[in-house]
Amino acid sequence: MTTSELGILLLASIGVFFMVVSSVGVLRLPDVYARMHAASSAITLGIGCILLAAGFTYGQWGLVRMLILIVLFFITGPIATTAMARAAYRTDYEGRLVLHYDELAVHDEQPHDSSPPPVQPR
Amino acid sequence: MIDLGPLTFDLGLDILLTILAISLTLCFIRLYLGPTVPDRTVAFDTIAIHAVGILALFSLRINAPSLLDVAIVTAVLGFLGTTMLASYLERAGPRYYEQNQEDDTTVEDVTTVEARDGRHFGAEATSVQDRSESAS
Repeated sequence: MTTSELGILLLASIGVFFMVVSSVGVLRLPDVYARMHAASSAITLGIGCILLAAGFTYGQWGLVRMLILIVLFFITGPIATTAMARAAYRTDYEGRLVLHYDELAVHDEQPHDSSPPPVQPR
Repeated sequence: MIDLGPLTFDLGLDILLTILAISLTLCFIRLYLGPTVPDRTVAFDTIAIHAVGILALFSLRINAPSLLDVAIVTAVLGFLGTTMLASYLERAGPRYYEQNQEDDTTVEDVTTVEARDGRHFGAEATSVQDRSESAS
């Protein structure tokens, strides 16, 4: 194993670690929005590190292609997450019951209150 | 050259691919369990990202640079699928925000919300009946 191969393997390991963390979060977190937040870490850090590792292996042209793909992910990832969040907010009623502080609904009914949400006793 | 004993480059990639497969299985469990449609959409998005990652690592493993093009196409298709699902979901679902603006009451009746949810998401009719009886 040469030094560059070891570096590639380490970079891919970082990416795989973040992918595993995000999928465990998608499985375990209680809410739609929390799952969305967990899934977005796989888009940026996880897939970015894995594609960089693949790009460093194949020389210059492979690196260019992988950088194009990373830029594509960084553009499309937030768009997809925002679309999913909008759809979840407008359709999912039970998910809204889990929300601690719903700013859109508050803005609809009464003047906006910028103070932090009240701490609920547990 | 760095000698790490039995850990060669191919073995390391095999280990990483195995971990990614287990992680993909966790996403499929969420896709199966997910109580609502947005949960399943999030799970589908994560599965598409995992597919791209597995393709990239597998192209390293079998030394086939042409698989990277397949990864690019898979990424675009995953984004299109997620956005399409979210768009149709938003267009079909009940719009609580706009309907609350039309109503005078700030708190909606429980039974109407249950009926609307049941119409769109296929909730069990028995649970709707039980909750409406207990509410009345």
